[in-house]
Amino acid sequence: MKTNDHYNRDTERFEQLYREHFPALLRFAMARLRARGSTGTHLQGQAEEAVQETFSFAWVNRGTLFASPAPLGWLINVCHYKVLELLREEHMWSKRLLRVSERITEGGSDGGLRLRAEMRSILSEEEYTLLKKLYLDGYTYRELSQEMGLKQSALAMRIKRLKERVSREWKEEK
Amino acid sequence: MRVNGHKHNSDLMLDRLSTQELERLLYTPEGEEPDTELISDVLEVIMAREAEETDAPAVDVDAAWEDFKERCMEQDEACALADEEPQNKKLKTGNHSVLVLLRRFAAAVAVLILMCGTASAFGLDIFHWLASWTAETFRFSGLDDLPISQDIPEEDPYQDLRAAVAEETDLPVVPTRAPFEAAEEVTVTQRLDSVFIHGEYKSEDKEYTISVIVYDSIDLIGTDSIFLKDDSIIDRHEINHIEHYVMKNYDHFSCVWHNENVQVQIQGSLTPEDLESMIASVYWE
Repeated sequence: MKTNDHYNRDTERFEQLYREHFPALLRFAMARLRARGSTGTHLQGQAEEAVQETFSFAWVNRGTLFASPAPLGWLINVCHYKVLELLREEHMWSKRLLRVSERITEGGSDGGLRLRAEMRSILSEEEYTLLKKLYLDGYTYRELSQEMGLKQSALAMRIKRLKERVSREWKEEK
Repeated sequence: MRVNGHKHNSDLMLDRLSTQELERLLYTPEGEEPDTELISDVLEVIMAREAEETDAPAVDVDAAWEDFKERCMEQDEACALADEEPQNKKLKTGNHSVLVLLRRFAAAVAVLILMCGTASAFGLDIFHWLASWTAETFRFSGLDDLPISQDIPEEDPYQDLRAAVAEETDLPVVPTRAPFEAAEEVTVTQRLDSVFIHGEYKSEDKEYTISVIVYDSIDLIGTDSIFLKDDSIIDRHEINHIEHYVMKNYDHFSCVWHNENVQVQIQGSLTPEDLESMIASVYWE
């Protein structure tokens, strides 16, 4: 736990910016996501996710943020790319997981069994279900963390490591 | 509808637009940078308007802040990178030790030198280590979906480098775009387990280098590399499913990546935009 004065001052200043600009950034992210086809509660969850990622980046680069003459403009710029990144990530994982679920429901075909075996060598049933809920069923991080009884930070780290492992080991079919 | 210039929102008559029309102004065409000033003005109008609407959903900033603190500020690994200013770090990998030395000179020059042991000590971990310095990955929108289609120009600025690299590998690693006209000088050095191809590009007042190391094995990637950077965060760009790391050493920028067993480093009098353009031209025209 950080106790130095510099860190505490940074935290206070950052919190002020967070509270001041969170609503506007959320509104911005929702408008951008709505334009790309997101709807309903999934839209709200996606927008919150994008904004939290924006502030996560901002926290790590808070020196630059604090020095900016237009903090909201700086944050908007980051949020713009975070929304794009989130959509690309979701698209990629949705495609992967959809392909897997379609193959698995095909049943006894060689392709289905092979994919099921390959998938299970990389992901456990629980891990697959976790990714499916996030990318196919529209769960938000908050909803998943509540369901699983985990802190959001722990859930986020778990998913990050899971995706890294899958990306390393998964062989994409051409 | 796109509006240019620095104007107060009343001059733009934003108040007269419907919320739907205002939301359209928040859109940024693909490949363009967002007009943050316009977007700020538009958001101001939208937020003020929605604050007056009694049925507009409230934003629970308190809950969001608590979530954020839990996710980000408790993640010591992510946040400590911005907080710490390491003077000395020692990393141990197996039976080999890697000394990472970071020194600040009077002129605030920070030099990071990685001295690696044998291949089994470090290898590809050097790129994972670089990744630990990065804040996030910004990806070039849309480029990853395009098939690789590099078109070598008639007057190839990297003719000699390309010829030397082609002797060792057919992987796409040499750009086609050059940030400025420069004289090319290429040297090729055969090493025990790699070939080091070094291109120097000099104009009257600027210069840069492109170093290509073709290793006998992918396991050897990064084992004899020296990366110079200051204490700023490294930018990570994923292009063609390969992560490219752009780092700053005060006045100079450099980019390093590897494609299978080939490691590439571009550095010199280049802006980040120059580097991005050069990297993209490795894969696409």
